Amino acid sequence: MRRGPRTPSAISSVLPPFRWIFPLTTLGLVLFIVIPPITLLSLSVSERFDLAYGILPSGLSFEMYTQWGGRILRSIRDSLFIAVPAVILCLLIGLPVAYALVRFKFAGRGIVSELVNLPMVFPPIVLAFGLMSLFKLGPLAPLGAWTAIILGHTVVSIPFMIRPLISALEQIDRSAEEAARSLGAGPLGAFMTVVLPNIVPSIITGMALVFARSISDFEITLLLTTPEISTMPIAIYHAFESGSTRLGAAVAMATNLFAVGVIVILEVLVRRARWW
Amino acid sequence: MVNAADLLVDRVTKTYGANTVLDDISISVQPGEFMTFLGPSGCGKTTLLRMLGGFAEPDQGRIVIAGKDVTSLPPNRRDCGFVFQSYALFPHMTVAANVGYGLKLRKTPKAELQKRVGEVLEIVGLSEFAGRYPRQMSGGQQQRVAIARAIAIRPSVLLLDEPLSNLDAKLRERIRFELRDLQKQLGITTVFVTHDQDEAMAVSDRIVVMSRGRLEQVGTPTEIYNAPASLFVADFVGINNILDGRMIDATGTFARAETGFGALEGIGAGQAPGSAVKITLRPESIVVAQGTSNDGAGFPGTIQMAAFLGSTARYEIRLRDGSILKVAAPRGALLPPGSDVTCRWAPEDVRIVQ
Amino acid sequence: MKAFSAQRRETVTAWLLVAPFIALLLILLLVPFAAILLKSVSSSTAFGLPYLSGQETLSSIVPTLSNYALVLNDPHNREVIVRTLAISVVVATILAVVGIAVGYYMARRPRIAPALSAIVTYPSLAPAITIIFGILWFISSTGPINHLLFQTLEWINEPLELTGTFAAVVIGDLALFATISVRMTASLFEMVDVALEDASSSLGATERETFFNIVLPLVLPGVAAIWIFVFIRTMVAYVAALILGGGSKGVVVLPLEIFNRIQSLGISGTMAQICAFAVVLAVITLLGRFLYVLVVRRLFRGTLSVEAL
Repeated sequence: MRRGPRTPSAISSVLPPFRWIFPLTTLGLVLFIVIPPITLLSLSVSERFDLAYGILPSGLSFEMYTQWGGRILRSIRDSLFIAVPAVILCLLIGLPVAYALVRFKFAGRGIVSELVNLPMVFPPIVLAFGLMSLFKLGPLAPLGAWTAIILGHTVVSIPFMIRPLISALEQIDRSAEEAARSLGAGPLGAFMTVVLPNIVPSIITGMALVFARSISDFEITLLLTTPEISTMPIAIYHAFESGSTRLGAAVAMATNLFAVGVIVILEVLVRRARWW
Repeated sequence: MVNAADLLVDRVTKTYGANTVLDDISISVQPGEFMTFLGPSGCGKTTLLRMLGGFAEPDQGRIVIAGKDVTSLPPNRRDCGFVFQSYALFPHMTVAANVGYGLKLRKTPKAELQKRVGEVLEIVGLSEFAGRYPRQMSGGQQQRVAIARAIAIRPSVLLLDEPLSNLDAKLRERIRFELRDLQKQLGITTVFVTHDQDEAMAVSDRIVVMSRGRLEQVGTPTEIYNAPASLFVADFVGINNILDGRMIDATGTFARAETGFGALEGIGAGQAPGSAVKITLRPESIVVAQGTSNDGAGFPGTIQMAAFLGSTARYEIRLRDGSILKVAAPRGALLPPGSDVTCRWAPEDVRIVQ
Repeated sequence: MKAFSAQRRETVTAWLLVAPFIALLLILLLVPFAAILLKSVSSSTAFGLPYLSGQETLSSIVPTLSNYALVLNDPHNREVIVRTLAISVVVATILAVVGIAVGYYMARRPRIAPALSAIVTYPSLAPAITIIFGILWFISSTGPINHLLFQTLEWINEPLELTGTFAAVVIGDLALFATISVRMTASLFEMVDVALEDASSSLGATERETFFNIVLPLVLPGVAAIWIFVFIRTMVAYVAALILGGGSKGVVVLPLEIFNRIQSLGISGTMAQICAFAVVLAVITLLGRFLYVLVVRRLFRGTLSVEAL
């Protein structure tokens, strides 16, 4: 028999009541998560560098956003140029993998299912170093930096597509597909008419996750990027390197708004899709 | 061994939003009594039981256990043994550790603890399983561990929340009687919650029938079965024939009522002559004879449906006015549909209720 | 015979379906890593990786462990490795404790859980660098913390220099990985049947006794798995150290050391040393992953389902 430690009662008279520990820690975490971005937002719209009470903007000014608007929009565009192809590639490559893992028993299935998790745990810097050797110094150099970054993002984010698809496919009764086959549908037809409509919410979830992963990526992009490519995280880093905290704050806030906004919209779509 | 306990539910009310889950409930359970809360799901029986255990608090009213008002006491200071529907055995502890858990919390000396655990496991017949983990045991065994764990602390009352519902039908019937024997042996005041009327009839000293947060009837199984106080109770305990009628008159405990197929007599009183009444009649108290009698006794009808159902034959008989009687007859020659028959019954088997 | 061919057809179909994925991993991850592995045991100082960007081939490589010796014996490098492990241990441990407290609260408060979950999820939706940048500003010499302590309350005589410290990097990593830890732990607690807690308290346990006797032992294997998971994620992350660690002379962690060396390739250090570093990092990570899978599979032994991990 295993037993957890009994807390000595001497301590309990000093500490706040046991049940308070949980909400208090939660409150602490929430403040820790919420306050730095709020002050960053304040800074980005503040007229002066100095915040009132350290939290609120002193005077309202959107100077940073208007002055650097073009640069912010350009980095949003660059991020999209990379994230959208990565999402599509992940879906096209990931969906067959999820389907094969759920529906077929085949030699090597165990290896494939562990390989699915590999990109999530493999050190991004090592992956990026390998990609750099391939694309900047090596045989794939003609494909260019855009392709390198898109493929790099595809590799690291494909587990985020495959995993929700696997759990969605596992929910679908195999006999529904067999029923469609018995009614005369081909394998692809049965998949399109019976399976696909049922996994739409998970496809959208997977797309949202891949999108989030791609648009947030900094650690891989940094090694593969060229001066022409400035995704949102890279733009923030450049602002940091140039020492302009206010500019960095503005770019970071615009990035946040865009990234979180797109994901929330996709999440709402998923809710709708479940109601069909 | 177990101190005499008395359990009192005094005018308890509980609402969730606009939903009244318990409406002014009062029940008293005598020491050593086996009391069952019976009702369909959503009738409030489980909420009431959880209140006895301390997992919910009434909005109004009091709960008294062994003479002590426990209404707002947390479960750990109530001295109730609770057996959960899912058993809630601690998966990371052996059977012995599960059963000894409550004693350990009470700082029972080790030797004493081991002795008590041994005794309790002996009672439920699981002595040789002391070292096993719950997942290594069958559903019926897990169920007995749950009971052993609850009685090991020698609670003043034992509360059981549909403890048999996860077992298959055969096992359920066996454990039902084991449970009853165990309760008699320990003499522990017990409250049992179920939606199964057979189960309730088989084990209880008294039954509380509940519906939509209200008490419908409190009584012994025989009382509930023979004299259902309301249509709901009649229907719930399986009296399938409920007919419309009109009161004629009453003499003593017997009354007469007029129906579409003729006048009949039954137990009932208090209704004004001429008022609308319901007549309840059990399927197994109807005797069916082939042919139409001319002596005026009994009611003629035609068999609409006939089926063998295990040891009895089931009929649906259409009476003169078109109302349908369900009949459970002892197995004999099955009369074919379309046969003309006469139905008879004793007045004592008929209830005339409002 | 027929069953055999059906089985075979299934295998062929399945491999056709996974082929693009395998090709992707092979070309972009496994082959480059194999080249890195080869280079890391090569004594040649030539630029580029064997077969990929250099002239080296298997036959021209003279195997040596000198690169690893250099990486592991240099006091600076050792400091980096120990520091990386220390940061990961501290972050994983703090988040295990925070995850238990917050996860339990969320799992048992279904009404406010969605709102809490949305707040807690925010750092995983927003790009990591924006979170780190927010913390950089927050703890910088002119940021809110120093504003409060130095200007408003006047508790200190000069602004605290918080950036470039071990603590700053830990705080950054905490912000990045709090989401994972809390959500995974919450899903562990959700798997613990509330009836077990009710049973414990009906047997006489206080809330504290129930928590330490019943709830915690049941989730502990899962918490161990989450600890390993967060440990790995912290090991391989370098944004926090890059931005909060105060540059190449500041708090450098292993992946950042690799990054810095790549940046200064040709000026200091050799390709082979970088490769040795990369292999060390990858091996620690993959060992961690192996341990994680082992813990998830073995330690649970049926007490809880492992679907959530």
